[in-house]
Amino acid sequence: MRRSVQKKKKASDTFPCTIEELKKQLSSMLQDSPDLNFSTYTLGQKRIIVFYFTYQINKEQLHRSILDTLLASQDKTWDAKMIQNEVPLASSTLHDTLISVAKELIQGGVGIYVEEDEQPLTYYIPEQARRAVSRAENESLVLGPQIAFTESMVTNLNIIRWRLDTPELKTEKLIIGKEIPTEIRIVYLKNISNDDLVNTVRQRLEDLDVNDVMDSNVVAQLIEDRSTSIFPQLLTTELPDRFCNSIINGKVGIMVDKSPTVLITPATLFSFLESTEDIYFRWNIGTFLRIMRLVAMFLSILLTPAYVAALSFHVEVIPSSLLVSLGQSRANVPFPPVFEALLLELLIELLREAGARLPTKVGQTMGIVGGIVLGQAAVKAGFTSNILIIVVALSALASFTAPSYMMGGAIRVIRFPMIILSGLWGLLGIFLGLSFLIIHLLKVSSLGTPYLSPLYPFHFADLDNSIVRLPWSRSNRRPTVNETKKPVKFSQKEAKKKRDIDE
Amino acid sequence: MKKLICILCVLVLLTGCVERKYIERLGIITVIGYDLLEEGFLEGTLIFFQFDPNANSVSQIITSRANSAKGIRQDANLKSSKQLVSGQLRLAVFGSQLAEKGIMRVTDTLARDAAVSDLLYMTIAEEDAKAILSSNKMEDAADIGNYLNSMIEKNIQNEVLPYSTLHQFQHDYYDLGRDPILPMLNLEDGKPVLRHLALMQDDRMVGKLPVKKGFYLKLIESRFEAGHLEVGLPREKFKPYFKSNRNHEEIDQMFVTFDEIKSKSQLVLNSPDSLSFNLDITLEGRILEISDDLKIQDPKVVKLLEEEFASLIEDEIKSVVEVFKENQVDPIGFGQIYNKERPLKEKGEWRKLMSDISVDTNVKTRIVRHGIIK
Repeated sequence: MRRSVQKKKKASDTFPCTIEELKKQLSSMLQDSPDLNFSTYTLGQKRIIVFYFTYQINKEQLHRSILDTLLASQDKTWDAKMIQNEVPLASSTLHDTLISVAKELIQGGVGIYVEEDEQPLTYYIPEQARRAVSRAENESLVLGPQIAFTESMVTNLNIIRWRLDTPELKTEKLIIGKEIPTEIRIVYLKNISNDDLVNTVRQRLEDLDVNDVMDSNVVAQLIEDRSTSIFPQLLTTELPDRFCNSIINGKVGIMVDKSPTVLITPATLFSFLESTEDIYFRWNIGTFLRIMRLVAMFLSILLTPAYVAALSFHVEVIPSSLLVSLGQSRANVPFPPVFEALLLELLIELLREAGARLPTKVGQTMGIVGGIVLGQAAVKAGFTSNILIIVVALSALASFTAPSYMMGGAIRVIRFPMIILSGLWGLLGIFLGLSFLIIHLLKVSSLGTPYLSPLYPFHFADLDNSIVRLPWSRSNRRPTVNETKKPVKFSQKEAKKKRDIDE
Repeated sequence: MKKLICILCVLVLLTGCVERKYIERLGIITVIGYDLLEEGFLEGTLIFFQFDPNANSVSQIITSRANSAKGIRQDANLKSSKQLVSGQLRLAVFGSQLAEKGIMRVTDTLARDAAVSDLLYMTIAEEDAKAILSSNKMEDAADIGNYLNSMIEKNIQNEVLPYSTLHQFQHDYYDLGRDPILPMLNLEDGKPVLRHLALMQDDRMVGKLPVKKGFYLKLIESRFEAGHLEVGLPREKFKPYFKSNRNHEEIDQMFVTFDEIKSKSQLVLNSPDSLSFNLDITLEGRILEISDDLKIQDPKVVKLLEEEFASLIEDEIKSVVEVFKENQVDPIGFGQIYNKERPLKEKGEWRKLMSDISVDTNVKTRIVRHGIIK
């Protein structure tokens, strides 16, 4: 590879050359960029040229470390080795080819060339546009750390090292993308994570043959097991505490440069319904919250279809106390229940989408106009029954309780085929849809780990920290699905002992 | 894969759809009454809900005639703009003439219809079912069907009426050595009330039993969780323990009301040859009210109360069993117990033996609390 580049580019044989030659060749290689800055100095007997992209480098460092040193004495005659020795910066590289110099410049390097020297020299002093670390916006919490990842990989690694300050933390570096290379890190604890899992992740990433990678969400879709599924198979999060907690429990993290979300694998269906807040709450409240979210997920999928099925096919199943109010609210509506339900579900989806696209200031007004005014008017106009409004609003609300936005989206979309099925065949259709869904979920896996674990395959011990949450003194095992090297965190016997000061 | 999709599409398209029953186009029958007319005609009275935005009342009533129960519904469909369905049927009322001839003719089709709930309540009208369902005195309930249904449901839950669902009826009917028993609806000043229980020989009504005697029926055959009973005990025996005189000298009974009655009963067949049964009942309850001022703190008084109460119950049970023997009905299931020892061949066999049974009753009562009286 390298040899072919050298053969193609005759420029590589250009060194040594004059300053004018270098200028010309470098400019043409970098598409005559107007931002490429060349400054030439005559020091001692030789001319020295310093070149860089004006916005890619840290000017402060350039002036204080490089130029100050070079220009300190006017009579010194410099060469590349001397510069390396005297400039107080660590990141120097000597280059044989002009193309490698150009690449370094793009990423934020300063090039220095002493006329008629063998090799040009570069210093890597990049300055990237990055935002400050801020509060989590999408996965907001009440309890616990508020910090969120940013687009900068350096910042993110810094946060993770801060949280997991153990030498066992390994962050393997991979470069993906043929045209636009992107740095990817596989993050795990060497003494805990399963080697096979890490190898699988590494192999999936290495095997990728893509031109560029937009975001970590794209990476997740590229390496997942079953791309036809509607369910996300890798967990994305913007919360460092969640990421680190998963890694401590033996999962493997994937970080992608330029992306503010990180990936956690393997993920199970239940991990999408977990929030770090469950851990910060006391165990009983945490368990309640988790079970509530699970129920909410079922409600969200089944409530509207059940309404449609009962009102179109099965009068028998309506509780007698509800019969009159249901019947009276339906009496005004000109459409069959399926259309009524689809219409209202669509309305809610439109509201959500509009709210998400609009700027925050307008978005709130949107919600009020859409939710209250449209809902009221629709009932008054005899467009929908008011009981359906309650049902649809409840199931929309339930779908938003999923802490993962990805899973919430999947749940909302599944509802539509379920409503159509229930409109076609009533309860029979609902069960057809449910059976299909369950069979599908049984087949899905996340990097080889069954998606429905711990329910299938059943692991009693894994129910902790997936469906329920045990008190910390009892929760002494890492999930068996992760097949960690240290399945037991601590001895339960020791944890049960209460040591008082007078003992 | 393509083939599979094709087959799936064809299957979906060819199966078509289930028959749609949009709730607003239905007349949902909640109560149905059956009366027997001359020449075997049935008259059905249907109370149903129909939902129209402009209607004043959701509840409607239709009367129709036919030779069969399903025919009644078809005939009624000719008199309504809605399609009548029986999926929400909660209560069936049978006229006394039909009940005397046998109600199985109608209940059979109710039981076969998958849409009809097995938990629908069955009652018998003391006269015409139509008269009861046409009554418009219903204490502000939404409609007469609702009133009747909640009245019966409440009294079953309060352990006043026997559990009289379609399921229970069918069970008792087909069981060897047992007869069903159903509550009866009567009109008092035009208002439907519960006064009697209908004693059935298989599906034919042969006699009546006052609802109050139903307490003893339940005492024998099952258990009470929180029963309620008002009894009159002989005043004479308690005279030495009166604190003061409340001027009720002219009445020779002292009335005591018990509640929170819990009971257990055990009925065994002593010998199949002599048809003698042994009935042990243990019962405990709380005194809620006494008509006389009694020294209730005295353990002797409580003991006496318990004894008198037990002997009263024994007498009442005896008289109830006598009524059953006279009518040759067996709602308690003496025959079932006999059937275990000597298998019966057919239903009629036990009815002949029924009049010869004897029941030896032992009742143990305990008064748990009698309130704070100083």
